[in-house]
Order: sequence, then structure tokens, then C-alpha cells
Amino acid sequence: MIFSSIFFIFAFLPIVLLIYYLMPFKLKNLVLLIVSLIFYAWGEPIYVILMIFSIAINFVSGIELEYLMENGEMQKAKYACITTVVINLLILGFYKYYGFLLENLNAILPFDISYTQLALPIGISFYTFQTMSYVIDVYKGKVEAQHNPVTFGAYVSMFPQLIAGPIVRYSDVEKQLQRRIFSVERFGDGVMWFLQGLGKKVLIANNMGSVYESVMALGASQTSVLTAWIGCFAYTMQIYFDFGGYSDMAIGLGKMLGFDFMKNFDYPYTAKSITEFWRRWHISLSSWFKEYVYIPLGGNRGGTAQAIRNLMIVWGLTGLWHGAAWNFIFWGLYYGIILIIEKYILKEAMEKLPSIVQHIYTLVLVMFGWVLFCSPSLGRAASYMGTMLGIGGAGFADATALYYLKSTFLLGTFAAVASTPVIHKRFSEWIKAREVYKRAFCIAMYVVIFVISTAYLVNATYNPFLYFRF
Amino acid sequence: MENKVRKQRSSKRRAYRGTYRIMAFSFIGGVLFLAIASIIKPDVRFSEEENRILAEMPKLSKEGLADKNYMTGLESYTSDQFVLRDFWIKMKVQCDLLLGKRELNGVYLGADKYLMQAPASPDEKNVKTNLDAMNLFAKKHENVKVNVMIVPNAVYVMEDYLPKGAPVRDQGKDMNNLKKNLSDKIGFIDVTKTLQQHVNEGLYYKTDHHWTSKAALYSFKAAAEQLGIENPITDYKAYTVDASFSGTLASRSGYHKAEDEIQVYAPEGVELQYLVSDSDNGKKRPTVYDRSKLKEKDKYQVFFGGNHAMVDIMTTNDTARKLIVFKDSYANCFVPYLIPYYNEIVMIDPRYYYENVETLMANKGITEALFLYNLDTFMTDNSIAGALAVE
Repeated sequence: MIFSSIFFIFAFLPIVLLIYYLMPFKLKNLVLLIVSLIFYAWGEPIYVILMIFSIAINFVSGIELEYLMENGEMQKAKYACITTVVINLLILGFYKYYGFLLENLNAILPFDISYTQLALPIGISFYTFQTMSYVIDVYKGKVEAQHNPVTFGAYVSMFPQLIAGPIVRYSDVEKQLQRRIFSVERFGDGVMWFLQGLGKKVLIANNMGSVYESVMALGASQTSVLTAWIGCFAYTMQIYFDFGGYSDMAIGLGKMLGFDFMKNFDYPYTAKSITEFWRRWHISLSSWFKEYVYIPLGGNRGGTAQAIRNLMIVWGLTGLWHGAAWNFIFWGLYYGIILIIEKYILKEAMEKLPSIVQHIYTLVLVMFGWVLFCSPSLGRAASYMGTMLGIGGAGFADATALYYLKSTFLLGTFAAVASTPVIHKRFSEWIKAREVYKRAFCIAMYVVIFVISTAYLVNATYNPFLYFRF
Repeated sequence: MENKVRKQRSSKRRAYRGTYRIMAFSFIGGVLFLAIASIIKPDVRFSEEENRILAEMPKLSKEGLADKNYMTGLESYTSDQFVLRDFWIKMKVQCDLLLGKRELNGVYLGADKYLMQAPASPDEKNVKTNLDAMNLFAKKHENVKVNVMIVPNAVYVMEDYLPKGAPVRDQGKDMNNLKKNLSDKIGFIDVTKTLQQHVNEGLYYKTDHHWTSKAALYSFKAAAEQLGIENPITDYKAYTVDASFSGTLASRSGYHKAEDEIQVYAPEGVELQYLVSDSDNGKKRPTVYDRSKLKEKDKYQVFFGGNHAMVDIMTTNDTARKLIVFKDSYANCFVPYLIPYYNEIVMIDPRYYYENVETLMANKGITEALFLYNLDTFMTDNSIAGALAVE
């Protein structure tokens, strides 16, 4: 089930909210657990068992760690923690990377190992990372082990962030799982987040996505430089508003249920360097890797050479996290290399440049990155980049490019503006303004977003979620 | 003074808390209102606007739960039976147009409110299989004259009506490829040039993916010689049988601002005697038209009552020529022009015909064969080879 569907908004959500609010607080986590399992089973009737298994293992492991540590058996605790992390990684590896691994092994080995690639359980990359952070944090003494299986289950399976993040760390919601504040205002705040995310997803991302798909369907001989850039721009907008919209909806739903999740995006396309871009893009993932991979590896404490090694490991893994394919790994390494160059070579030189140059530099690198990311193969990525640079395409611009320009200009411009804080800043001022008309305007805008999004959802012919694959 | 500031602040705070409250209540209210209205509203079985059967409430079953059919069924049901469905669709189309989009669900909105379907990308392997089967068919039936007539679609013939620069498949290239890959035992009839000379005369319906009887008539006149028809009748009179046709493209795109006339052409001063029957209706009748279809949504079915696995036209014409037509729906408004020149015409729609073609041809004593398709259907067809390949 996805949030941006008629069924979710007009059937699942109202029923869930009704039950959730009718129950006394003591039972709210149980309700949350049950509806989340239903939500998950809706799309993955079989794999819900895998998730319950994962919850059980990590729950027991947390208690075991606590017990061992209380008895001073630190060595045993360390092994127990490593074992659980390895089990988590094995589950993830088996369902996500097994086929990819064997495919590559078969390419080098003189004989073939036959395999069947299983369907990827939705959200497994997200919830596995959450449970791992929990076990590690318990081992490090950052959080206490959770003794109530319902509470722990509710944390792992919580439906707003279950299938596409943000990767909520246990330490961030530990207190909220025990106690949370409900109020109509908070709910209203959640509604605004949800509608904002819905609009981003349904109105901007889906429409930009259909432009991108249409451009991708053209042959190389029909693609001019301008068309290629429009296609790349469309994808750049699609992926941000798709994923960002989903995160907004998750945050909004969280608020309706009384939770506060961290924000996952902070206007990434306004960054002036790739380093800054990754502080603003998918924040919960990059901070997870920083905390649980980069720092444990020694970070930059062991000198330049070691820091570079660690960065490459982290970014190779970040790429791999996005999917079991070489283009994702290269995409991660691409960023690893750029980040190293920025850190050790360009840093001071860049700051002296005019900020417009820094913006362009960042955006161009990010856009080329997306080509690598979205292409079905490395060869296709290379040829598409070639077209963008004027190699092998159909000239600089043609009638088709103008057609795309005309039919995406309005929405594309709006999307570009909306990917900066200007609109949101004005909105958050107006929503708290003393003048009635300003507040009324904001409310009216949310109503308009809701109504038009509903119209698009009723017609849903194109409504994918990019981050479902991860 | 200080008091005043505090008062102002608290009134501001109260005000925006009010805004949040309004948001909360209007969202809950809106969702509940639409949800309850959708439940109360009686289910609609068929959507005229979209020309399709809407989803019904799925039945709960163990299998349905295990293979997710129940879940997807329930999702389609909520969406299909959502209150004011047609209104939402119209609104979406309006928004798309406002944004400058000229392609709605695979349909281009061209000049003069012309809707034109973007041809699908073909499965090259299927196309080759079909062509091979057709070549083999011609080889096997040396004494049967085989012709192929493939009609390009509106996006190609009426290219100038398309939104400027709209990316569409080059059907000219496809036509050349087909020509190249058919053996010289087969006559290839290309009516592209003929149609292009009459681009502004309404060759295709504005709201439907079919060509009109007028386009079929021009094509018939152009093809007559290749079909071996000498002195074809040239005097035809047009009769408008319907003036409010809204076809499949209107349904698919959701754009309902144009309407079409359906015209049929009858030869002047020629009395034809023939009887038509088909595999769905064995009753012989003396007309190719089914007027009852004019009361339905898909009025193009007025020709032969739509597609049937087989249609048989027996005439009293004084000739021994017997024709078999392998066809899609484009043939339905074309074949009537052929009636005066044959003793019998058998139309086969390979998508629905599962009997043995060879036996049929032998029984009927077929002397000529015609493959008649529109290019888009031909390029995506996966049934021709199967129908011909019966031992």
C-alpha cells in the first residue's frame, strides 16, 4: 500500500486513526503494531513473517545484551552484538544481494551456479538499518533495552516510516514510545506535512517522472542535447519530490500519531558543494552510515590515507544500499571520490568562488550522478551522458526538445523554485501571521493541493515510488 | 507596554493555533465526507466516460489474500467507485492542459481538437514471426493472390496536426521495413500518399483511433487496381448515421470537447444483393450495418456490429472470386466497398479466430487473400502467425 493512493487516504487512514484515538494510551502501541503489520502484509503477505522474525531476533538480542553487560561479561556482549548485526546483514544480503552476488560470481567462475532471485521484501533496507542501530546502541549503552515486545515491534514496523524511511533511530523515539502528546494542533501540523508531501509526490514527482520516462524511451538518434538535459532535469526533480514528498508524508503521519521524526531532506539542491549536498540529502541515511560505519572504522583519526579508505568504503556501501547493481556502486564511489577531492583539494579554492558558480558546480555533478543512478546499465548511462555533452545525439536542440520544453516549462519552473526554501519560508510565516487573509490563503492552498492531488490519484495511471526498490 | 506586547503575542499564538485546528478538522471532515459519500453512492458497473467496466467489491477468500488479488481488487474498487469519479477525471485533464501538457495518457491533443493515439513500441520479434508466417502463407498458396494493406495511423498521416515536435514513432520507417520484409509473392498496398493528399478532409475520427469511411473509400479507389478490380464504382453518396460519436481516444485521454459524425457511403445507382452472418450471430441479414450499435457507446461498431472471429458475406454477384480477409477493426469500414466484386468474402479476425484457416479456405474455395490492418495494431499483433500456422 502506498500513501499516495485513494485507498490509503480514504479507507485505511481514517479507520486506523479512529481506532488509534479511541484506544486508551496503554493500548495505542499495540494498535500501531497491528495496523502496521496489516499495512505491510497488504503488499507483502508472505514477507510480513520475515519482518516479525527480524523484530523477534533483535528484541531478544537487546535483552540478552543488557543482561550480559549488567553481569560484566563485556566480551560475550561484544560477540552477541556482532552476531545479531551479522544475522541482520545476512537477511538483508540474502534477499537483496544474493542474485547480484551469484551473477557476478558466475561471470568470473568457470562454472555456473544456478539461483533464483527472490522478490525484494519492501522496506527491508530501511527496517534492517533501524534494528541494527538499536542493537548497536544497546551494546554501546546509548539506550536501554526495550523490554516490551509490543513497544519494540511498534518501533520497527511503524507504518509511516516502514517502507521508505526516514530511518528512525531507536534513540530518537525511545521516549515517544513511552509517552507522547496528542493535540488537535499537532494533528493539524501533521495534516499540513502530509498534504505538502502528497502534493510533492502526486503533482510534481509523478508529472516530472512521466517526462523523464518519455525522454528515456526516445532513441539516441532522436535525443538532442537539450532533450537530454530536460530529461535529466525531470529525473532530478522527480527523485527529490518523490522521496522528499514521501518523507514529508511520513513525518505528517507520524505527527498525527503523536510522533516526531527527524527531517530527511533540507533543500539539497541549494547546496554549494557536494559535501553540503550530502548533509541535506537523505539525512537519516548519511548520518546512519557516518555513525555506524565511518566512525567505527576510525573516521579520519588515523591520518589522511585511512580517512580516504574509510570514505571510499562508506560511499561504496551507500551506493550498494540503493540497489544490487553496479551502477549504484559506481554512483556511490563517484560521490566518494568527489567528497575526497572537495575535502583535501578543492575546499579552500571553492569557497573563494562566487556562490553562483558553486551552485552550478554542485547541481551539474548531482545531475550527472542521477544519470548514473537511474540508468538500467552502465553503458546506457555513458551514452546518455555523452548525449548531454553533445556526443552522438541529434544536434543541440530540435523540435522535440522544444515540445518537451513547452510541456514541462511551467511545472518544471515551479518545481525548481519549490526545491529552494522560498515558498516554504513564506508559507510558514503566513500560517502564523496575524492577518486573517494570510492564514486563510495558506489553508486554501492546502485544500487546493488536497483536491487536485485527489483528482490525480483517482486517475492514477502513473504512480510509482522510486524508493520502493531499496 | 510590556503587557500589550505579551497580549499581542498570545493573540498571535492563539490565532495560528486556530489555523492548525482548522487544518485538522477540515482534513478529517473532507476525508470522512468523501469516504462516506463513496460508500453511500451506489456502485456503478460501467463508466460511459471511460468506456470500461469499473471494479466491483472483491470477494474475500484465502487465495485472494495469499496472492494479493483481494488487496489490489479492493484498491481498484475504492478508486473506481470513488464519489464523483468523472468530475475528478475532468479536473485532472484540465490541470494537465493548464500545465501545457499535450499528451494525455498516451493520446496527443492535436490541432482542431484532434486526438491521436501515440503508436506503441512494437515487439520486433512478434513482427518478424508474423511476416514470416505471411510469406510462408503466400508460398503455400501459389494459386491464391495475396495482398497486404497496412494503413498508417493519424499521428503519421496527419503529422501536421500533432503538437509541434511531439515525439512519435516514425511509421514511414516501419512501412518501409514491412515492405522490405514481405516476399515478392505478396502485393503490398501502401495508401499513405493517397491519404496524405486529403489530410484536411476528416480521414480519422477526432475522438477515436479508427479511420473514417471517407478515408477507407479513398484507399479503396487507390487500391482497386492492385486488388484486380476493374472499373470500380466511383459514385458514392454519404449518409450521416450519427452526429454524437465520442470514441475510445476521448475515453482514454479524458478529453471530451470534440464529437464526431459517423458517415457511411453507399454506391449510387447500384443494387447489391448479399447476406451477412458472423460467428457470434448466425442469422443472415442483408446489411453490413448494425444500427443498434448507434445507441451504444462504441458507435464504430455500427460496421458489422464490431469485431467477430469470422464474418461471412455471400453475394449474388456473377463472379467466381472468393476473398478471405485477415483483419483488424480498420477493415470493418473498408470491406463494404469490396462487396460488389466478389462472390463471397470471409473476414477473419486472428485475435479471436481459433479454427483451422486451411480447412476454411479449402471448403470455401478461396481465390484471393487480403491482410488489412492499421499499422499500430499490426506492429503489436501477436495472433496472425498463430492463426496461419495451423497444419
